[in-house]
Amino acid sequence: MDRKLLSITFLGGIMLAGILSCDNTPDHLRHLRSLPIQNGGRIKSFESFSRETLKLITGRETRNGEPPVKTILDAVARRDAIDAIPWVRIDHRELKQTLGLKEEEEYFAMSRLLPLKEKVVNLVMASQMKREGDLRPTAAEQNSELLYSRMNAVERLKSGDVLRVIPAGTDEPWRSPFDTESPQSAEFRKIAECYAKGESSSVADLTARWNSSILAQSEEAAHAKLSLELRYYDLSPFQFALIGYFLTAVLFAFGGNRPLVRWVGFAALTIAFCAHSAGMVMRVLILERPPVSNMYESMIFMNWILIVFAAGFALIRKQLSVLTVGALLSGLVMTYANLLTIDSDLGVLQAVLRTNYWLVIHVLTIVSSYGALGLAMGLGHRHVFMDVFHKFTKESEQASAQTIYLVLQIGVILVGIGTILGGVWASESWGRFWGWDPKETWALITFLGYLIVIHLRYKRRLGNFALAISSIVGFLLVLMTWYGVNFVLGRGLHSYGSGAGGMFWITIYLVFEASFVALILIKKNLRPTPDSPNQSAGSV
Amino acid sequence: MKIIRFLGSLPVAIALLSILTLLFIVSTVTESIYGTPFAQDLVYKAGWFDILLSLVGVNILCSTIRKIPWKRRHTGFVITHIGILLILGGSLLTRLSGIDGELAIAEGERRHKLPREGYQISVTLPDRQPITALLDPKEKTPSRQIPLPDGAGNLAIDEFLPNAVTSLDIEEGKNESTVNHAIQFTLSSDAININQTIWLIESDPQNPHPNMLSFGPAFLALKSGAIPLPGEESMDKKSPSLIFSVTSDHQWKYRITASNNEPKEGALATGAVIETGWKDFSLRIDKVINHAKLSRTYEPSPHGKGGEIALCLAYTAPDGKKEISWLSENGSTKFNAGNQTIEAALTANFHPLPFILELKDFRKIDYPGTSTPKSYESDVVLYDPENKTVIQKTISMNNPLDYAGYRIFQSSYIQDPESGEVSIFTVSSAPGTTYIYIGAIVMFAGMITLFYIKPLTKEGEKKNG
Repeated sequence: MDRKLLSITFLGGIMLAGILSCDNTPDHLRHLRSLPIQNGGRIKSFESFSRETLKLITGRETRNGEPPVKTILDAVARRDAIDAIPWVRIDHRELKQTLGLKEEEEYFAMSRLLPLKEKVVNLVMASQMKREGDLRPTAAEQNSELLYSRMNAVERLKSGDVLRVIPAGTDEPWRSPFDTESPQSAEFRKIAECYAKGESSSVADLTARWNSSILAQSEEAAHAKLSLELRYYDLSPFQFALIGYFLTAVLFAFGGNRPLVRWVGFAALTIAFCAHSAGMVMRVLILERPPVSNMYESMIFMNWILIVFAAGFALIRKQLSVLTVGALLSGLVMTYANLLTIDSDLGVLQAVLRTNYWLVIHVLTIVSSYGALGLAMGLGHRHVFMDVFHKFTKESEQASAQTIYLVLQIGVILVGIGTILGGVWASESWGRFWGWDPKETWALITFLGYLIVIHLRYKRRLGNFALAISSIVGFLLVLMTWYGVNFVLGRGLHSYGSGAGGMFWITIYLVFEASFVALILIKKNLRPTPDSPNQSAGSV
Repeated sequence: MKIIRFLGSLPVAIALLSILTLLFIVSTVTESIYGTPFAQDLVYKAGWFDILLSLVGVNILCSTIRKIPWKRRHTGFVITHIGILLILGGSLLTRLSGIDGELAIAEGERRHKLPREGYQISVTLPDRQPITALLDPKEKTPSRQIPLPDGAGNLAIDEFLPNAVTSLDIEEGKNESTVNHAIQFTLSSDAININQTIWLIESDPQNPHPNMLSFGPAFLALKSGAIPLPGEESMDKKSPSLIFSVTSDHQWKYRITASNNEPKEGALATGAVIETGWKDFSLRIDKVINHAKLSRTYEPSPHGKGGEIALCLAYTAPDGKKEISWLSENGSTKFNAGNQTIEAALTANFHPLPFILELKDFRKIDYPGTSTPKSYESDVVLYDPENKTVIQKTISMNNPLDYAGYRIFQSSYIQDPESGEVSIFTVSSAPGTTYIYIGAIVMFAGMITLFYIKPLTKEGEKKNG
């Protein structure tokens, strides 16, 4: 029975991973993928540019299952037909209402939207003015800003303005072949023309020649890690890791004690962790900075640290369940990260965040604390589940609680240090250690909240079950600090506006947690049996 | 002592931690709904908040004291809590004597006054030290005395309008001896749909430069007598300007320069309409006054917002005579005290820095092909005349200039078509920061001891007997 389970899960995993990592670009566009283009403040591959542009306009990196470079090249080669492409995504119902668009439709062509441009601009201005006046813009106004940037992206594609493929001096903006007249402009335009006529082999040759000449011409282009970017997209290391983590969790949870299952599980975990690490290293090499600048990067670092802590504690405490929980959680976080569409770009940092090692240390410390506290939360779920379904022995219950407490200790120290480091960074960057900014204050709230738990447990006032519940509830503070401040509160230096992305899934999570905790508490109080361990004071 | 045992007890600690946690949740949500200034005033800058934090300090102090005499097993605990006390102490120090403000300097300018919140009234008395009284605009009714030395009379704030709108009325005064030239004129253009009536006045106690004005790219001025206006000699002869000049025997003339025409000159007459040569702007002279009598009325702004600060001072001289006078920002007024005069002026509050900062050059570098700033930097010179120090430095993001306990950071900038490039610096003095850093290190060392160094914790002690 277990051999079948094993083979099925393993094969399934490999197939999925295989599907995800294939590159389906037709041959004649292969060179186009690594064509250098200046965009978003750095030299990137045409592949990156295509994916990011598509993600901005449509909300997804690919359209109709086509290779991204093909979709973009289609648009560029037939620019007079761009306005007819129904690819501009509008999600927000109220916004569609305000603009007089059909609410059921998701994608709109520019020909439908251009007559509404003035309305959109007015909404955007209203949103900006309200924000400057410290008022809250309506949700429709906030979403209009996204729509405006989407429309702008299409317009810049149509005018060719965004296609900065012709190098200039260092730190100077590159030029577009549709802006300026030069032999190089003509050369690039020929590629688009040949493509439009369907001359595939010419396209392949011309693109290859173009790439070599650009690499020879521009030091910046030669320095940029263009092929690494392609490998990053093709390998999808984070998708790979995601599958590996779930596979590990399933194998460890349901595989019993059989050594073969264990070994396969460890193999899957190791491969997943290596893929995860490789993905992070690739990002660091491509962007030449640590992964600290946005929500997406913090998530992929948080679940990486989570695995590290899970492995460490599993080893120290000799509890495989810690790894099971860690792998499952890491997979879930990775899944959620991949649902967030905007931030996973390979983007540059704002001026205030650059060249500052305090920033890096602060963010890495805080996100590591989220990893530890997240692990504690996962272990807490397992503990209360095992408790109310009477799966614990006295020893295993004690061991589980003690592990949770040890993980919380690490989490509390890290969130405390991280909060202080945030102050140090602020003090060294703009002279004010603490300003009661909501993000700072919420980090402090998280620290204080968990500190209450630590105090009570240390003085033997908190039993094992209560400790596990605390680790679950406490994580809500972490979520608020990490995510809520940016996307729900809508104010302060860290704000990105409210209601921007992900609220749906967060609500699902909160509903799940509330139901889970309620059910657990009901079940706990329903039938207290003599041999179910309860409120025993734990050792420190 | 029983009281120390109680104040330093665990229940009190848990209660305080819980209160703080809940308080901050409320304050951040309040900030989200009502805005940052509201939340700051409600909680973080409130007096009771300081008291609450002090209670936390008391609880921690007592929890440490009640364990005296300290044994080895108390090590982790004591270290941790002393660390927290250092952090709280450092914060208190910065809160009490820290300075924080923004300094905006245009290229080529110097500053040594750091603007701060609020206003101040400076009273200059003959033969005595000037007196400064601070005014907090959030005070609802600061009708209060401004203490003057004995014998100088009595000065009080009669009315205070933090948001006032002023209307200025100018009439020909009856008194022939006080000459004060003023001219009212209207500039209108159909093409740009502008119809603007403007006063230029020779002198106005409520306005440091009542005789000059910028009108778009044009410079408008009233020149009385032969003294040239500031910058007049070096003014570009071709840039648009309109200058009225009047002699001591009240002969008025105008002179208009435009970018591509010859200058126009002529005598003035009330009601005359003159073509300016600036696009389709025409100039109409409305009133010409030689002995201007200025009267201003101040009303609270209709919505309670906007407008400017204005206050009414009531002065009682030593001989009993009462005078009242209105002041607006940067305005001043004189009172008679017998045969001497007292001058009172209203200015924005500022903190005098122990140095002068000059901006030589500001540069902003964008990420190529975008308008996202990659870095901005300012070449500055710092002068300290008292200590005969001159420092030259380039201040950039995350690269401040430290001097005399002050840190000067590159904060932001303005690219202003009128004043050119203006670099904005944050100047701050936070004396408690070092103690906070030390306290944090101590606190974490203590936590690590508590968690991981068994011999120095209770359990370790028990195990070793």
